[in-house]
Amino acid sequence: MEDILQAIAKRLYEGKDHDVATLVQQALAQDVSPADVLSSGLIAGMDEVGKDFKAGELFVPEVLIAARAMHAGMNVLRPLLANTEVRSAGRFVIGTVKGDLHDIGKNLVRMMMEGAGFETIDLGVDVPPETFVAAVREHKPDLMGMSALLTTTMPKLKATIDALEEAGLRDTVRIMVGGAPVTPECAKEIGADAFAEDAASAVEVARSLMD
Amino acid sequence: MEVCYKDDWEKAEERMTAWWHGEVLDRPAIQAIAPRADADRDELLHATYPIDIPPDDLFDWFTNPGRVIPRLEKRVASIYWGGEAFPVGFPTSTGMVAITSAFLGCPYRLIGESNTGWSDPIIEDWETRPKFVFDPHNEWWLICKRLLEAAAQRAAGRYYVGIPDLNGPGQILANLRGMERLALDLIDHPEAVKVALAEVTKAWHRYWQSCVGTVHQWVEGYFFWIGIWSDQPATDLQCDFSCLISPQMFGEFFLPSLRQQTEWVERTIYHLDGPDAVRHLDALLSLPKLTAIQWIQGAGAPPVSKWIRLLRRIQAGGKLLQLYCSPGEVETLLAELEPEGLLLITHCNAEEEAKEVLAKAPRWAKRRQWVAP
Repeated sequence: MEDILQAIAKRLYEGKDHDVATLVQQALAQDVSPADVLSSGLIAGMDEVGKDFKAGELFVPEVLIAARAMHAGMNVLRPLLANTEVRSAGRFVIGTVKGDLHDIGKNLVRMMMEGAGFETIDLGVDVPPETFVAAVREHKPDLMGMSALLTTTMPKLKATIDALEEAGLRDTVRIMVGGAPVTPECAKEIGADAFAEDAASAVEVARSLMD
Repeated sequence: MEVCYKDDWEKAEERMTAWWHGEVLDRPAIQAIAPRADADRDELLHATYPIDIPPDDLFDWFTNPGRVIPRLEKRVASIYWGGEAFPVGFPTSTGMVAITSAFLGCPYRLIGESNTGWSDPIIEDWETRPKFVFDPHNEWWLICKRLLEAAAQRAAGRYYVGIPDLNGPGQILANLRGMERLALDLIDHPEAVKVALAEVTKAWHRYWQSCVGTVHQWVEGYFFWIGIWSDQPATDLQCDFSCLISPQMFGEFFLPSLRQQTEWVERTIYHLDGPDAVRHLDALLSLPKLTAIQWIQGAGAPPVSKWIRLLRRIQAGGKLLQLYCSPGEVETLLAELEPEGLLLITHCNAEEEAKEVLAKAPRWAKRRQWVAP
């Protein structure tokens, strides 16, 4: 069993989406449980991607093809997971704040979080505080991530946290923030629970917030 | 050209000519810019940023020469252009970034809140994509051309006019395709990317020539968004997209285009933006005709004075170096870096502060074997 799971992880790391889909099917045919395929195959592969991305050995194109391979595997696995008791690592809402249209950083965080087994809800870009509030109310996420890539849009991070406070929802969700101009000090100052330096760190931060 | 709003323009030209040649006259080149002592700061702010402009009025605020030129002139007249800073007006606002994407067909939005422009991608499919060529009838090109003409006619004989932020072919292609999709395409469709980038590079050159040619009907000089004086052809090079990719991919895909740009334009300065761009420094230093590097540490990163090792590496690589710094960092940077080829740009709070920085600079510089004034 280990061999096929390692092969899934390896092919995922290499971004071979068709191979991953095929190997996932083969693993299931060999009676490997969907939960094991997910955790020891797909998530294990993405964890290696995350580690090497953080270490500067992989870059965005390689992460994207790995994420694509993850999706290919999940497309085979998802219907079967619905029939099992496999639970997601957590529910995560993410968006780029109002006035900011940058999306690649946010998308990378979303991909890494999906790769780590989180259920993700992506609100997109240019998201006003009220939309974040509505999403928290509707989806009841464990975690929320906000991205701001411009110094001019950074104030919207605090504005959104304040809006959650006003709506009586602040204590229902842990918030992490990130983006090029955002710093750990800024995150603390605005009342966020955590700062994620980059997409590679976001999963680590998320897992620590879930503990 | 005799320059208004600047009494010492001739000496500044001499220092900048020396800088472009990697030399120093009486002190390293410094721009110290501040609101004039008698400037109305609130007016200056409103002349620079789209403050309280309703969304449905933004387009007109940015593009109507009748509104842009008076603001531009107010700004030029309200600033103390100290040291090697020259009075220059930019009719296409700093908010209209990477406008070449719009020239090549991207829908372009102006975002008042963040004072920035945003392109929507248009390449859906490499097989059926449009051709990227200079289009003299493009709506955004005509807008910019009108603004440049109006500004240059108004400025003629008095101050300089800067061309738009044309950005660089790599980033323009990323805007045309979408950053994420282009990143995937480097693996999935490498040859299509290379063909498109070659087209965009040629188009960039035509637009650069056209911008410069438009201004030159009335005003001399080669000013681009960094605001550095040059009497010879000069431009910035950029590839912010490079922050996403490995040195190997940068070398394969983007370095040839940059090399081509350095062969077309006599003086080039590369905008090295942020820690994630540093991995490409060796490749950039290997471009024999690249004149200079501008280092930007980026918001959230340690201030420029904390990057001395990197800055020395750039200087040791034989390139001129341009930095933005706070007034308080000027002394450290002058003490730690070679004066030849060093250009600092500092924005001061007041005219007096700018003058003080310039007065002290000769004493702060690392080596002072030249004759003090």
